[in-house]
Amino acid sequence: MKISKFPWVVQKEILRNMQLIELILLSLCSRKLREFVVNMLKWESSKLESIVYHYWSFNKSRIASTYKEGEFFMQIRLKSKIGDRIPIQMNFMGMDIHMPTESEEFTICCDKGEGETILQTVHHFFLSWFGLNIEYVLITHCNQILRLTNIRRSQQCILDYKTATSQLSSFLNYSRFPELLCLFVERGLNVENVPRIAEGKVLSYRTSGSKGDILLADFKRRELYVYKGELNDYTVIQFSNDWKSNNGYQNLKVVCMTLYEGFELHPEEIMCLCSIKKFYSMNTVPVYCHTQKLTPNSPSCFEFSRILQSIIHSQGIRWIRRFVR
Amino acid sequence: MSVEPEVPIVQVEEVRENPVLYKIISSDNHVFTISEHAVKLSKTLWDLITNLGLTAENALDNPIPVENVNGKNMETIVQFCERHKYDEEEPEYTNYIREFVLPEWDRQLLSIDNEELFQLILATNYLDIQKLMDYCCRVIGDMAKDKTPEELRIIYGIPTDAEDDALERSASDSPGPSG
Repeated sequence: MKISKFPWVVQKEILRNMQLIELILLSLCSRKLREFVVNMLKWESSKLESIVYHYWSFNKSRIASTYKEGEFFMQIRLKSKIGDRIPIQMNFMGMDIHMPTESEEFTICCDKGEGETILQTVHHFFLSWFGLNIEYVLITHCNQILRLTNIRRSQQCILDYKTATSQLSSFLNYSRFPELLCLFVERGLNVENVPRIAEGKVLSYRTSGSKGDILLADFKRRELYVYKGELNDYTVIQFSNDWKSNNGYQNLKVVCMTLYEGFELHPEEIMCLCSIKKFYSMNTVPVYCHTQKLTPNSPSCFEFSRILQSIIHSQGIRWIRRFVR
Repeated sequence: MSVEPEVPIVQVEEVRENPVLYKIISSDNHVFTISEHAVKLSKTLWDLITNLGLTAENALDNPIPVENVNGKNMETIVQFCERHKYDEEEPEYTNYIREFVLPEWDRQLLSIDNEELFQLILATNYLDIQKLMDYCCRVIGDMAKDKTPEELRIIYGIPTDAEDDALERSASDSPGPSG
């Protein structure tokens, strides 16, 4: 059977029935076919909205896409973890790789320390295919921040005292500050001052005892979510007055901050010194705070203090929830 | 129009629910009967029937010649259409990929060799039967599962870059219509 002998519309239908990894492998067969596949995927752009890299450890990462149900379609595993399956050698995206047979998803075997390099190569491959027409998402589940370019949304764990600042700086330089950055930070690491941390549109900072005052002062973009921040009356007053006078906060839609244990706000004193005397439903300081323990990953269950009650920017909340989930 | 069949009529399925039947003659002169509901699955055939003004009264006296489809493929197509004639109409789609499970009956029907499948797809494309096209393409798409690029090259007859280049060169070197 020669697929090229079919009418063009039939060829397209055949390709539409394939999974993303099958299309990738097919595209490696010839230059012509690659052009055809890339063009077809561009037409199908409503289906291919994003590619998501999940990084668990140096010997395990998986890649999913929104093409066909958002399933994982590729993984990178340490050679010793693939068991008795016989690997097939092949050239894939310019790499000589081993692919074990009978895998549930396409698997690239790697040696220790190769995981990041392979993931970078795969990412560059997708960039060369789709450019920035789709969204690239990086979620790390371990204490290692990968250096990938053009990541639009990212969730990172920052746990290492020695490397936290340098790794985060390196990532932000590489990725050009993602639109959404969600950080799970080990208590006491204090990476709030890392340059460019507040340059993304949405920042979610989760730790026990973060410098909420620094984040609140520095963050001038769209949405800020801080879990267990250290905050005092003065910072809130300063922020409220700056916000009221549009002093750098024109784009800010949401500030969602919970207080760290031991920190309390004093609404009456804030009200006395704040230039905003009354909070209307459509003209409120977007500060939400409370001192109760939160259910993880459920920003919508926040309870708001009476005096700083505000509106919820519902779209932003949904976005965060979807991302976290 | 009246064409006497030269070979016995192939009765694919007895149709009791719908008395309106049409006759189709394949390129190799096999004659098939097909019910009205079934023939509607083929946009090409139904347009032809409508344009010819065939009715319940004169349908069987006016067989429809289909030059591009042989008897073997037509038999498969008629079987398929009779099987699916009462299926719910599928929603129109443009950009989205249809997610469906290929029924076992259809998988069996389409368990034919590659060359036959190729010819069946060409026939299906000509007769414009969307559902059968979807199913055939799924069968061909499924051939790609768990295959390496080299295996895909063999399955789908994909030329290498060098072969593509050689083809292009020979096409550009060959004389045009004027010699």
